[in-house]
Amino acid sequence: MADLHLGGWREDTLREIGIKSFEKAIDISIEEKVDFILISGDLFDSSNPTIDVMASAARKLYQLKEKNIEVYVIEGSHDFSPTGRTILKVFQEAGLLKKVTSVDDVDGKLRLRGIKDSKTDISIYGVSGIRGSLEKATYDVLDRANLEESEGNKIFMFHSAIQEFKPSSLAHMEAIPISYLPKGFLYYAGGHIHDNGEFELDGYKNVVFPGALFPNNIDELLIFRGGGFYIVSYENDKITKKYVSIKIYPVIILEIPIDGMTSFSIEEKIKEITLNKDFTDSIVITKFKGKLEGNISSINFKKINEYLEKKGARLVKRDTRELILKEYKEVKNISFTKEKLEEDIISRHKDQIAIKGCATDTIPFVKNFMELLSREKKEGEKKDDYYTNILRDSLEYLRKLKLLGGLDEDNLS
Amino acid sequence: MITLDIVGKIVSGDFSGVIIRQKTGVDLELGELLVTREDNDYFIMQIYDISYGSQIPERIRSLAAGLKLEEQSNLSFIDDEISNFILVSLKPTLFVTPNRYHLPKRLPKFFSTIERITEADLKFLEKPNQPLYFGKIRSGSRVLDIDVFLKGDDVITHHVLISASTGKGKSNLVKVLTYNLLNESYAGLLIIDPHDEYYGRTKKGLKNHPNANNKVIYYSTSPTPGSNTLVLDIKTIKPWHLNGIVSLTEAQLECIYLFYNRDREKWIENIVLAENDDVVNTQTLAVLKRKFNNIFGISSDGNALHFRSGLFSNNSGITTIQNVIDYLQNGKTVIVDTSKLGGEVELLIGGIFAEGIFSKYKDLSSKGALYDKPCVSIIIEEAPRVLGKDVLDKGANIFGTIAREGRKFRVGLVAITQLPSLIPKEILANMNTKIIMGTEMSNERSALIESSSQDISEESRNIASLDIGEALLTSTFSKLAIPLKIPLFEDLFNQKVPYKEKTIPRGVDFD
Repeated sequence: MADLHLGGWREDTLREIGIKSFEKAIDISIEEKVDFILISGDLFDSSNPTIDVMASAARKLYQLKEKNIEVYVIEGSHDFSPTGRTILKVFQEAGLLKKVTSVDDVDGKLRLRGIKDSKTDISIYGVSGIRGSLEKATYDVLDRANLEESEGNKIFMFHSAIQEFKPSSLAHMEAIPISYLPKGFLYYAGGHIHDNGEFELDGYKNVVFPGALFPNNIDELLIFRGGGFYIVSYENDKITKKYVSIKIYPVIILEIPIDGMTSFSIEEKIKEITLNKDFTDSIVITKFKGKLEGNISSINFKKINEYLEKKGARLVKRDTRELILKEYKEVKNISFTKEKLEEDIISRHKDQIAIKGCATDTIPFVKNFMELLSREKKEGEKKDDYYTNILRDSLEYLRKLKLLGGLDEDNLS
Repeated sequence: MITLDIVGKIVSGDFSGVIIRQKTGVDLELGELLVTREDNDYFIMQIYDISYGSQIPERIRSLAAGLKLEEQSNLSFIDDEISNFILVSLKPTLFVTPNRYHLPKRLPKFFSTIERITEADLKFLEKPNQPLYFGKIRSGSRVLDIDVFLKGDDVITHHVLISASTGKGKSNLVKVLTYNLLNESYAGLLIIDPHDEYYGRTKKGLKNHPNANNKVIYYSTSPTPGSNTLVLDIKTIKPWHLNGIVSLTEAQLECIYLFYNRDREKWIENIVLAENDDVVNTQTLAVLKRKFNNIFGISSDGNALHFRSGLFSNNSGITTIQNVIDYLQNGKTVIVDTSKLGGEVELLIGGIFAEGIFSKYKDLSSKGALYDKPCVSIIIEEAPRVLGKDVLDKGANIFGTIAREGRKFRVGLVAITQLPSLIPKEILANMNTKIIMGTEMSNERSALIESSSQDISEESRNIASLDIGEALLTSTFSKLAIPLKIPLFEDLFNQKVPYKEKTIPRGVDFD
């Protein structure tokens, strides 16, 4: 399994469902008498989750320990920390799980030590995932030959999108090529991609992404509605994979076309379309579509939610992204990449500001300036230095474009 | 005042050629650049022919030669060096004044002295913005320490032709051009590489450029660690990708479009899996299945698809085309190793990527955003395979379309060939920059000379005599045809490489 993101939702109900999904997956694994469990990154949504989340996870992991089921993990882009101070380290020290990412530096190459599972004699190796695909630097110096030549059955765990396998909806996502992974392993346990999929390419058989155990955001709720994991068996040199779907509560999407409607008629419409529907213990997503007559605040979302909760819904979430408000123009050519979306937004609003004497076009100017301002604090950089550096770089950029003319630069900061 | 640089004096000629008498003891070569000065101005001229001249009647010369050969005579001419000499034909190529330079509109003064060109005489050739580096100026076989740059954006979008016989240094030239382009951000490059020679899998290549990590993307059916597998999901193939690359009858095309209109992205899969179809002739289906088996390596056992090679798949590479387009429009250099693919499949793959980027740039143009992106160049070897008259007569393909229309959308071709005469004249004329290397065949030279941006009608002999690494650059964006010496690619690595900070490996645990 992968991408559990325990502790990931803001809403208590959804956060609890995430934990329940984990508990259910563990219960099924125990029932199925698995030899060991692989968690390919992002067990937690952060490297430092809340006490409640840690406690829930610890309870289940301890249960596995009692049943003598080993848990092998790598870190994911969410629960990784460059300092190494993560809850996974604590759990490892407590013997609740084993990280498979230990390495030795042998002549400038990184040699993964791996862990041999005592029950199955299968060796498990892995490289954690890091935000922005920074793990590439590790793969660059990974001793693949040593891994490929090592004897016995081997599993490789990774937490990265794979260039050759990423779905078209994630075409722009940072990814690593499959050629970074050692060839000829029995199984490749992937994480990071929240959709499940099984792949095969020359030299790489059984590359499997189980997807998230429970959706991690509203889009995933809309698309996947649930999650799952794989139970994999290896007998007589044959791998069999069984996808186990986990759905704690049903996710119901309620599409509400509201073209030309008033607030009152929207409520009536909802009553009409939900008349014979059962929402017991379900998560309902109200998806408003169309042009609204009036302001968004005229829709009484609270009342709608209460109505659906009365009909049994555990939680109601709303999606208003396809709602077109009268006061705004219709957005054409919606962009799906962050970069293009930014460009479109800047382009639509650029005429509202006049950058007098600016030597560059507005779009690159705004993008460059935003990039300067949104730089994250570097590792080891002091907070004060961080602020000073951002200010210095921004002023330098504005000065270069001669946009500080007439201003007292000394007092700008 | 006579200086050591003086190599001759103008003795006759007209605007098509100035004849000079070569000074005794001087050895002038075909292609050499010479100058003649007039106050602060000077003409640059290039040698295109060399012949003998003599004051002595031919019958006397023959007699003297006979006596020397047959009678062992010590006979010699009085003032031999004055009586017998070398005549050199020059073409005036440029007139340079302190403020400007242009094509000559008059002849240099009669009896002017002629000197060898020096680096100082070519200082007016400046490095433009968005530079594209070609090599150093060559005068005959002498290399001058003057780098030749043209404005890359212009050159690339107006197409480039590289022509040479085998072994004259085409690959080295392309490596040098592309290596230097990695220092720039104004262009994305798509290199269709049938010999897998540009990335540098086993020796030095573009991967060794200091910017390679950020700029070079390598696709191969057998990738090196860290490079991408060249694999395409058949769902991303469109019927028009086959245009002009795969030979198809009307009936087969109709069948393809029938399936595509009905099944969209599953059209290939459904043709291969179809047992029969109500509207399509069974024989047509059978032929298409056979063709798809040849091209895509795809077959079926009735229910399931089987892929013979790893190049096409039905669950890998769904983003490959999109990713290549993204890389190119972000100014990266994408090398596609097609060395293990058959000719038709290689062109299909190249055509798919070319069509993708061309469509993208047409779309950008319609949105007025074309100039927000770098221009794109597509490098294609053995260009007559897609731009040859016989190929284009059978039907248009994407490369022909780009050759004709690409300039408007900032997508250009770099067509490499030994046989430019196979490319139609109108396309050759559209290739506004030509890098002509040694070409022995006269019909190939004629095709190049007739379609060049400068009048190089006198250069035929010169072109035939170009040695390895020597070239003649003609371009709409240059005022003169420039003789070039292309540096050896390996020599580029003798230059100092900037210090690169070591990246810290993350995602693994050291003790």
